[in-house]
Amino acid sequence: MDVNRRLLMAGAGLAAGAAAVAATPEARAAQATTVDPSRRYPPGRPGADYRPVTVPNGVQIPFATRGDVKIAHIVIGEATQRFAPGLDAQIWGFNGVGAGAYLEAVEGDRVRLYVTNRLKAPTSVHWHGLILPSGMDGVGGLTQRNIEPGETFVYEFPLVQHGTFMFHAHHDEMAQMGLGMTGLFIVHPRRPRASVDRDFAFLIHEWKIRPGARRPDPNEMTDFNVFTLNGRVFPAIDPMAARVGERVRIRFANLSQQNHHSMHIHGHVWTVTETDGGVIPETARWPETTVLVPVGTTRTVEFVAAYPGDWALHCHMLHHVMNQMGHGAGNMIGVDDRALQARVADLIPDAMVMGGAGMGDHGAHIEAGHMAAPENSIPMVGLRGPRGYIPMGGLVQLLQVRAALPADGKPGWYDNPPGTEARPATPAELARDGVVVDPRRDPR
Amino acid sequence: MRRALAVLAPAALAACATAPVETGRAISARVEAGIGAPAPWPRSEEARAQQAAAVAALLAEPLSPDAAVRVALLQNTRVVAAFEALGVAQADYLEALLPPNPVLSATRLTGGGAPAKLSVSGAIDAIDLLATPLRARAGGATRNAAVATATGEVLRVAGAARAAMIAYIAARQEADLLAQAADVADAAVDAADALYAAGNTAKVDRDRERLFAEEIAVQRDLAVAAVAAARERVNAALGLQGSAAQSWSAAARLPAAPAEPLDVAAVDARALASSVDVAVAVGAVEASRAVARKSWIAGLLPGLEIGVERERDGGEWTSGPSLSLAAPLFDLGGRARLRAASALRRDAALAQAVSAEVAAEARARGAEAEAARAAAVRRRAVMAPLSADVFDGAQRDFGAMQISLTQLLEAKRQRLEQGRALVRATRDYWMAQAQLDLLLAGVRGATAGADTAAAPARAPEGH
Ligand SMILES: [Cu+2]
Repeated sequence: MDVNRRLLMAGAGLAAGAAAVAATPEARAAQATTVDPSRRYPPGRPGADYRPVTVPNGVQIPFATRGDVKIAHIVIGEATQRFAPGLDAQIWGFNGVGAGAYLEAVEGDRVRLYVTNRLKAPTSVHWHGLILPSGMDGVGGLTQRNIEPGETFVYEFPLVQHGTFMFHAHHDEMAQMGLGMTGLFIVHPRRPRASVDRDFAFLIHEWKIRPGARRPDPNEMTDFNVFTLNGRVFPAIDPMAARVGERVRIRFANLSQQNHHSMHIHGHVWTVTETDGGVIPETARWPETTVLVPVGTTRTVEFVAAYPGDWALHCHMLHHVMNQMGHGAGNMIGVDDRALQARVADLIPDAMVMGGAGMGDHGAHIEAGHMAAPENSIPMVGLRGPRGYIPMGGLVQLLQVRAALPADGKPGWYDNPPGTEARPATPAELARDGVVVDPRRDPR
Repeated sequence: MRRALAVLAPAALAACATAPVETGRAISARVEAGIGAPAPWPRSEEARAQQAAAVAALLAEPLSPDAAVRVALLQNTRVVAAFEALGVAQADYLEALLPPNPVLSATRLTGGGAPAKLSVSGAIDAIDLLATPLRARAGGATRNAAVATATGEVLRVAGAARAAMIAYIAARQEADLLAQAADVADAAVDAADALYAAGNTAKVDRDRERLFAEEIAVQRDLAVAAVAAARERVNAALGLQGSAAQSWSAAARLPAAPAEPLDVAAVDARALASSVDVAVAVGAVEASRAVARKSWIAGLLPGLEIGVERERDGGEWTSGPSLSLAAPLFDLGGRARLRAASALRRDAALAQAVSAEVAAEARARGAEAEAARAAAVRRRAVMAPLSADVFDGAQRDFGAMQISLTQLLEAKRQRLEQGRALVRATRDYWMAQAQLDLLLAGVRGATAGADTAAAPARAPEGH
């Protein structure tokens, strides 16, 4: 939320607490809203008033309705979270989840959020991107006093906009957000202009967990090695599935410590439709295959799942698609690792020297137990795919597009139709097309 | 006089014939009790042949420090020299038992037409004669000191043999570990060469590894040389020459330090009771006391001689006792008394000092041995497994690409360095234990042949 908007809101004479949030016409134009903030609306019902969002592997913080208020209880504390089989993290989070909990409501809802602090540290919670009274903004020391250990605070405000928002700790930010105190806040429009068939949301986070350790190091500034979507790393995350022709929305939210993420879709073209500031006018949108999601913002993309197949969706920053990549091995590319392996075999029989031709095999060797790794670590571990090992990890997702989906929504691996999968060229094909495979005559 | 001589002579002769052998047996028994290995005095060809056979049998097996002690006591001729010194001491003692020889004189005077005048006299140093028991006491004390000295010699041979063998075995273990470390460093050079050849590192990265490997190679070479030197110290301590010096082998490793704390209670009293140095000092005090008494008597009657004189002046023999005394005009006997009294006080003071030193050294050696034992046990029981865990962790970090092959090799080298530290700690314990044992058997001071400074210096830090 920028300063200008605060000033505008202050100028509009907002009442504190649960008072309605009004805005000037200029401000309302900048945000996305289909409600009149001066009116009261009945609490929105899932299925009836909105189609719930799908947050793969995310954990919903439920609302209970009391009268015309939606009430949620958020407990902040330390917990153990399984990022993937083989990697548990000691996080600080909301209701036991770090960077993977979400709130979901509807425009016009009035929410009352109880926040209990079970940490040994004071904290506060900021509702990122939401228009609300200043005193509900949750900046410790600025808009409220901190929530001390053991205390329960109450936040209350109406939701006067729709879109993809976030919430996170706003005291000792580096430590508390770095340890996982981030979440998604999805607000559906009261009167949707256009509906989608699939609505996915992902909260991106990054962590530094030394292989063998359990607690993320919030002091890290550059060398992050674990990248999560809704608190999970690929491949330990449920894939997205859609039928051919369905309209798909994906909401990306980024509360990483330091990095922006360029999320890239294979086989499709999408359009960025919203940010956490509102809906982008249709005339201002342009097609993309990669959307940059800066730290502290959300980006919502929409597209039609037109092409059947298993499509990768991943961050294109290459260190973000590896699990616990170690950066201390030195550059081994081009080194005769087999000769070195033989050289050290007597001295260190268990050492497996590799990397001469890259790191693609590394995760497979770790997974197969050929190489010992520190306890509680998944260095370079990826996914055993239908056609070989996939060494990607971290910020990776799969979009499975099928003509039809089974009842459980899990179609399994895609079988490429005959003649549509890359394969070794035959001598006849090479001869037919005049391709000469000869090192002396390689094109250069 | 004849009667007196007749009484003294058989006893003296008997003592002369048997005393050193008896004393030697006593020393052997005491050394065996203190050290746990026999120290015989071979006095016949047959005995010598038996000892040679025993030595050959011991040398046929890899030598432990205990076996080295056995060999040394049978083989090192310093043992024989110590026993033979007993005979020398015995002769000195017998000399002290004898009374002074009488002075006989005969005179024949002629001239003036008178018949020859004959006079015969015999005189003896009366003080010396009266002081014979005192001389015997001084001689006995001196002989006791000589026996203690001989015992110490034999114990030192045993101690030097043990220390030399401990040092040799440890030196070999260290050299073996350093050879492995050098191999590891060479492998790191090969890795650095490979990375440099692939264009992945700068020349300085490679050169740094090479320099480091050379450093380790220097250490390894020094360690190998130290093994050869340590072997020669064993040869010297065991008295081995010729092919025997070349052919023996030693145990592969030192035994582990005992897990139980050492019993160092009353270690000072135990050391005092058996101390050779204390015995020598006490012997000196006893001897000085006897000499002082004698000089006191001599001061009362300086130069007293008694005798008989028989004279024939013409045909008649006349005879009578004679007595002479030095007139104390110049020598009042004060200097001799001063010397003897001072010597006595000096020796008493020295004996007191020696006894304080021995007691203190015993407590110090006991504390050092226990500390060395505890350190060696901690290194073996706690640090060695930890070191293995650390290396396992480094291997896992290598698997997670957290560290490079070079760093993994460095971790291996550090593991070997831990092994080397364990060898040194074990050696230091056995050395300290040997010193303590030797002290409790009666000998203090550094053991010869146990030069442990031959081990090469540590590698420079910060590689
Ligand atoms: Cu990224």
